[in-house]
Amino acid sequence: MIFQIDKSQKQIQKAVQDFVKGEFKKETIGQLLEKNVFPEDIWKKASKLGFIGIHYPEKYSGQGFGTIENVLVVEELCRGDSSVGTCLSKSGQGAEFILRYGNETQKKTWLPKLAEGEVLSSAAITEPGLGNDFFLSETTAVKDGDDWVIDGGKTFVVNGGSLCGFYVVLCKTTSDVPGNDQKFSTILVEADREGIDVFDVGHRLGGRLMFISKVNFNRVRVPIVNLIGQEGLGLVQVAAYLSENRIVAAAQCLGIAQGAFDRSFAYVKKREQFGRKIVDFQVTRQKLATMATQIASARLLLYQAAWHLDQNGASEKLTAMAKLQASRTAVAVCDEAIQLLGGYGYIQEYEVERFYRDAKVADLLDGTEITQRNIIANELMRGKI
Amino acid sequence: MRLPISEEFQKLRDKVRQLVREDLDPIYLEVETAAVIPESIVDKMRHLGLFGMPIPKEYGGLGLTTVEEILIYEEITQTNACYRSRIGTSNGIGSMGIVYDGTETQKGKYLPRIASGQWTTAFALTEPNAGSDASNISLMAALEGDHWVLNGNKIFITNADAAQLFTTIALTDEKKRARGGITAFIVEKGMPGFSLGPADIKMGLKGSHTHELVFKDCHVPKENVIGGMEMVGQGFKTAMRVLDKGRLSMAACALGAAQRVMELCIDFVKNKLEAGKPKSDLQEAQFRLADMATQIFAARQMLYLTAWLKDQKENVTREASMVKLFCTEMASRVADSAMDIFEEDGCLTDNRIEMFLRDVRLYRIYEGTSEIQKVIICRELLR
Repeated sequence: MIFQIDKSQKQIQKAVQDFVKGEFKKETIGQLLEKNVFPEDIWKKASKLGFIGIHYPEKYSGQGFGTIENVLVVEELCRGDSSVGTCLSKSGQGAEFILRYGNETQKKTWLPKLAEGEVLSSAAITEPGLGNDFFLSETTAVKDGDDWVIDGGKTFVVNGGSLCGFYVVLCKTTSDVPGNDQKFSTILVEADREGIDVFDVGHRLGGRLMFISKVNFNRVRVPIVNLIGQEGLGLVQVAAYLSENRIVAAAQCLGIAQGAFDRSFAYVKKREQFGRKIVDFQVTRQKLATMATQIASARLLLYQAAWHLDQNGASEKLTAMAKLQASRTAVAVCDEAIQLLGGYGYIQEYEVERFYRDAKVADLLDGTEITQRNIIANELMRGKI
Repeated sequence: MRLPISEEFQKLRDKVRQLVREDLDPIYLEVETAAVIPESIVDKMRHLGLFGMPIPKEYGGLGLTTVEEILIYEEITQTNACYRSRIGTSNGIGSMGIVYDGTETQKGKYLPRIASGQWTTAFALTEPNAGSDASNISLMAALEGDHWVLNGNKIFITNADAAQLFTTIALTDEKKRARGGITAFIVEKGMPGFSLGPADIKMGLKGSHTHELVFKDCHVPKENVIGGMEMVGQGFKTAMRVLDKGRLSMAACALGAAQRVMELCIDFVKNKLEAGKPKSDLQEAQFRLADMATQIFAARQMLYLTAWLKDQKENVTREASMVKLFCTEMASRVADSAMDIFEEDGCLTDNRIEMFLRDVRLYRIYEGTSEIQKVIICRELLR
């Protein structure tokens, strides 16, 4: 067992830290927050440095690294800023469908565009009112000549909007099979196809710089070749995608937690009340110790899940545990960070309240804690102790 | 605990419930996104006498008891928290200093227009270096002839933009501080040398505005020391007494919010389907609701009891701290748990919960952080 990242991984970490230091300026971020817009500039700069799609093969403009390296990048970006970081680390949302199941044309066409900061991608899976019950999805894709005709509405589509290059849409492609297992497929829908309506989901708790949308596909036509992988394997692909995505989501949560910790730790070392630094109160130190321990244990679990994916493929149990712990840690640490800053903790300028809101959204958006526990319990019942 | 309530008060309480249902709640989202309470709504609250709840009847107020006040707060906070902030800051910390320690002249001059809501008040204590350490203020007040001259600033002052009157806590003797060196002043909007800084951008309570106050050779008439010249140096006691009283009100606000959040959850789980069945069939959701209900029940008992004891003129310093601590922390836990029930839908302001989550977060911080409450409680315990 080796419990530390290697030299090249440390270099990647440092490279992202330097990038954050140079680009995540308070004033810039303040302006983004005022206008509630996607950090396009910073995203493009990040892609030029190879941080976006670091785990894509080099022939598709990636850096050929693995999940661990991607996790390290995501962590540092979100640590740098919870809102900008999550935007950047989610910029290739759904790309894993292409990466794992796409054909050569699909990979060649789209992965470079993602890695080079030309477009964002979206996974259009959830439908209004359905939550995790994907097998109840009603979006259909019917064969008509050389095309699929796609009809239905998806929600909580991250990146759905003006910068989106394509949507990976979960569709019901056949009804005449007994079980749900083979009814669904995923289809690549270019964002500039006719009949796509995008609406912002509305005012929300956090993740306000991200595009999060309701997307309606009104009899949208795409070529039959836009099918991703094998017809009928949609739900299998979605399960695998969610498992991999969980790790990235966990890395976001962990980065946010670390960022909130950094900021509150710095604050309590400077702030004086009652004739001493806040950090010199025993309770403050107890809190910091708890926060640091929570972060450390969540990190170990996350790295183990990421390593396992690179070595043996995703472990449902580990990815769910990693996401569960990372989410809980992020929310708890950010909440405590607000408290450590006192009144300033409630003020937007001091950042920690935004880290908290972004943490809570990250907690809920990529599979809630209840969902993660359900998954873990299922795995336990399957003998994966 | 069954609280003794008069028929007259029950009528007022019913009117407040109706106000919430018909006027305040329907526009909660606009108030949040526009960050403004329409003046017509503020008028409705004036009309019910809500700006004068604890102010004695002889000065035009409703003269409510502590019990009655917290019951009203429990109702009016079952929606956007800003409505309560608009009235509660004014009739509470902003003006209680005058009610407790003001001269007859000051009471007669100011309380009627405060009670009617014609004037709004604010409480100016917090400074950049005086948060929990309230006696560490730097706003200096020096007597020059017929006027006190104030120099310094205050921050995070609720209602600053709406207020005509500011109960301002200033330093009159740097060495003595809390022991005879702090004085409470009535500063009025428009007094020379007094101005507001920009509004703070906060996590929640968007419709309630907080600002910095800037005092640059601000001239305040001699008569404006709360309690008159013999109360010079006694202001810290006034300030602490005012904050003490606010604790039970804050607890009631937390309770009202938690109650509404739980009701929203119950409604949600009954209607939300998971795998074709209502979420209320799932054990996880059921146990979560049971936890919420239990905590709310416990919070209510301790609040009601303490409010009643206070009306019996008992010293409830420690209990009030316990109540503020428990109720505000409970509200945060309940809101957080509710987010898990609503799942990703919980993130959308349309579904209400996330706004409660953000609003109640402040309750664990202002008017005495949870940590300060523990200090107060322990001080009493270890005496």
